[in-house]
Amino acid sequence: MNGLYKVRCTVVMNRQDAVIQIQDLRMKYDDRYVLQGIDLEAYPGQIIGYIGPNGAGKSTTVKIMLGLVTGYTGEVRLFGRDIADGDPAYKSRIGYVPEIAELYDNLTASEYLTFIGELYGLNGDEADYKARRLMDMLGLDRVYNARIASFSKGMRQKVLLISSMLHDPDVLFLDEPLSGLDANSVMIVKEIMSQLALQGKTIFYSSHIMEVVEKISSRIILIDEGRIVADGTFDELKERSEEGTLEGIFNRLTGFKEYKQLAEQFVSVVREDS
Amino acid sequence: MREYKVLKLLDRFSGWFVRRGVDYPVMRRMLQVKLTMDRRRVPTVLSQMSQNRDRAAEEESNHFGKSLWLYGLLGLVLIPFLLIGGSPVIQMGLVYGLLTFFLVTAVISDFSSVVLDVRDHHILHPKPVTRKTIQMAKSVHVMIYLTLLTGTLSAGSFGVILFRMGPAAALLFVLETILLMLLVVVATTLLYLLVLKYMDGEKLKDLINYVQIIMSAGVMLGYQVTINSFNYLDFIGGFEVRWWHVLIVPLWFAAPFELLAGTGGGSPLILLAVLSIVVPLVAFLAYLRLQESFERYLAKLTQKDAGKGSKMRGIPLGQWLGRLLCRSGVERAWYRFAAGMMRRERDFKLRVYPSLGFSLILPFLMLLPGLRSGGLAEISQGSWFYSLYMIGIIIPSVLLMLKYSGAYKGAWIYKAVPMRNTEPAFRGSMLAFAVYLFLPVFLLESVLFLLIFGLKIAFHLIIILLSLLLYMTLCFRVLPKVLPFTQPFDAMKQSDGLVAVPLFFVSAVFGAAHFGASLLPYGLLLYTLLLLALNGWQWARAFRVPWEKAAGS
Repeated sequence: MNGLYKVRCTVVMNRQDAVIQIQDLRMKYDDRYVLQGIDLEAYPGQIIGYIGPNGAGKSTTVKIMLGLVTGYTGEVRLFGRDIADGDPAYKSRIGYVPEIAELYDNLTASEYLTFIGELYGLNGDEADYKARRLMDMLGLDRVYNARIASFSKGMRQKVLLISSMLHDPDVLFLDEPLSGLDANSVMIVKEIMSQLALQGKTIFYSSHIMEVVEKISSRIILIDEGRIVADGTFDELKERSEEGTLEGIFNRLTGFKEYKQLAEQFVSVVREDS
Repeated sequence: MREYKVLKLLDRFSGWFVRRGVDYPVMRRMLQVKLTMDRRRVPTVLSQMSQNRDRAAEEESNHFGKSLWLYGLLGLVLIPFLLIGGSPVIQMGLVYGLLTFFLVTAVISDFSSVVLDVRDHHILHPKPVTRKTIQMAKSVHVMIYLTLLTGTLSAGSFGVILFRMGPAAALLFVLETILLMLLVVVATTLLYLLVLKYMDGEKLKDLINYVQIIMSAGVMLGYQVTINSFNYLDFIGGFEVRWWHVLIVPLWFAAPFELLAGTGGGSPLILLAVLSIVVPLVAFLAYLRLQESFERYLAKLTQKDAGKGSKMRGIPLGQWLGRLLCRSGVERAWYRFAAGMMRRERDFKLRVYPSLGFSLILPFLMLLPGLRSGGLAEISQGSWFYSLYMIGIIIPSVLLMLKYSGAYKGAWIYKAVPMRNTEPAFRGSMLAFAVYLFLPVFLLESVLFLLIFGLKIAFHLIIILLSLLLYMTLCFRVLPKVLPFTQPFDAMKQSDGLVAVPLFFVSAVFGAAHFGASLLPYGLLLYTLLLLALNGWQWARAFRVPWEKAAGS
């Protein structure tokens, strides 16, 4: 019940409880700053929608937290520990679904999931048993022993989702977690996310689909050009911008309003000479 | 997942890994997964199609194991060197020269993808595993394969050495071969490390590509130098160490055999022998030290610098020729597209450019024996310029490559667009090959030959060019016709190359015809006219391939 309490009261949180603490995070590729000073804290039970236009720095932030990208400045703490100390142990409390569905697809789902489970420190049989039941629930029981190479995009995504949760992580980083899933699966995954949050897990996810972000996020962080431009609940953001949908806010905050006009121009170019 | 014997063997050394800070059980598991995946690497695209979803899990045969046989056969090439001649350092020098050639080629073509694999980065790094463990798994993985490969390659030689030179020499052979293998892997990796350290993003990928190309070409050349560094006299008499022999790596490994045979040779040989032990070991130690930073730099490969990019500039002459030679807009589009692919695609360049470089050198290698006996002045009077026909060997080998591409998946577009006729595709890309790859090589070579032989061969050069262009259409007719850039490189089979072997001889036939014509009055002029006519005819007709035939495979 503790988790439930935390979701309801987003205001009163002890700083020590923060699972993610980022201070003045900057990252430079070549001469271009991808992140220009990110500060944020995340607490158990939060579902954080991390949104922003393409190239805003969303994936980079997540990759830094996972230790995939090094060479940043600033401080990143997970579960209270600075990740720069080189000890990867903190990763055993993290689950990750990357944007690009990289898998060892020559393996069968069973082999892959068992392997990943073991990397997270589970016992092989235990991981296998758990993975099989999870696959079963997402309707993939028939292909559990088939190679991932033969899977459709949605099936691969389900395998990725399962692989990120096998070890019961405390923090989940999901990059476009719903991509390729059918409507039914989308509903299931959304529900899984909110139930996990109720149990005190932190879910940090990025998506371009605004309706989804609007519905399931308990907190939204909007990022643009490597900076956080808005942070709060949907209602808070709504109040601030006095507009109805999140898409409206999104457009306002990132200064993109001309979509209708642009679409018209686009169509007119398509229609040229015909 | 099955249990591998190699891993059981590895278990004995687990202590060493643990002492180095590696999480041994996790590394072992990674290796098991990697080995399993290698066994399944099916060399056809078909296996990825969705139809055989259930069947896919069953077929499990060791594809690498099969290709090992080929290496075993290849290794037999080494044996004659061990049987002829009486000087161990020369015999072994040749054997190690060839071995180095095979190993470096294998490392570049087959293992670079393993060493530079970024999929590991995406999948393994988010897990609670240290970099050191991941990198060590990678290294051991490469080592396992390279050991197998080296083992099969040298098995035949080992037998011969055991019988002819005795058990001590055989033991030495095993030892030195292991050192050579170590040196090859470590040197390659360190070279990559150097490039990774100082470069970023796309530029880095290009540079790695060039390093690979240069290494491939360098080894080809190096092997020739090794062979040519021995005089025929050396085969009979003693071998004298010269200072520049220190630069020829295979000789280091050969030197101990001469010492073992006890035929003397003195301190220079000892120096070479010491190098063969010290250099690989030092390199290996350096490698262990730098291993972790390698993983870190590797992350750079995953970066993309979008946004930047320049419009592809064509060479003005190439564009002009394209306009001149292509007969339709579609064909010109193919011409430009193929030219772009040939110049930009790294996989393609890696496989083709070294042989371009080699073909550049080959005609000169033919001149070498003459050069040695008579000198430049004498050569320039003779008919050695016919050796220029040798650059024809690139034609079938490039044609065989044309259907492959690292981006083969993009080929769905051919089926989506209303393309009924394959002729523009074939003719356009063949023209692109002729203009952008073949012509530069030929022109460069021609200039060099003109310098050696003088202007009197200018007319002959035109005939050679015309012959080779005609030869190109002939090769096209003979070789399998598959739409360009539609197959993955994985699908490449070693046997493909065999088809090209008879074609090599055909280029010699062209040379003979040329020589024959030169003996007749007005022969050359008439022959030129004939070649012109045949070229016109063939370049107009040879590329008509029915759609079903070209897209079918």
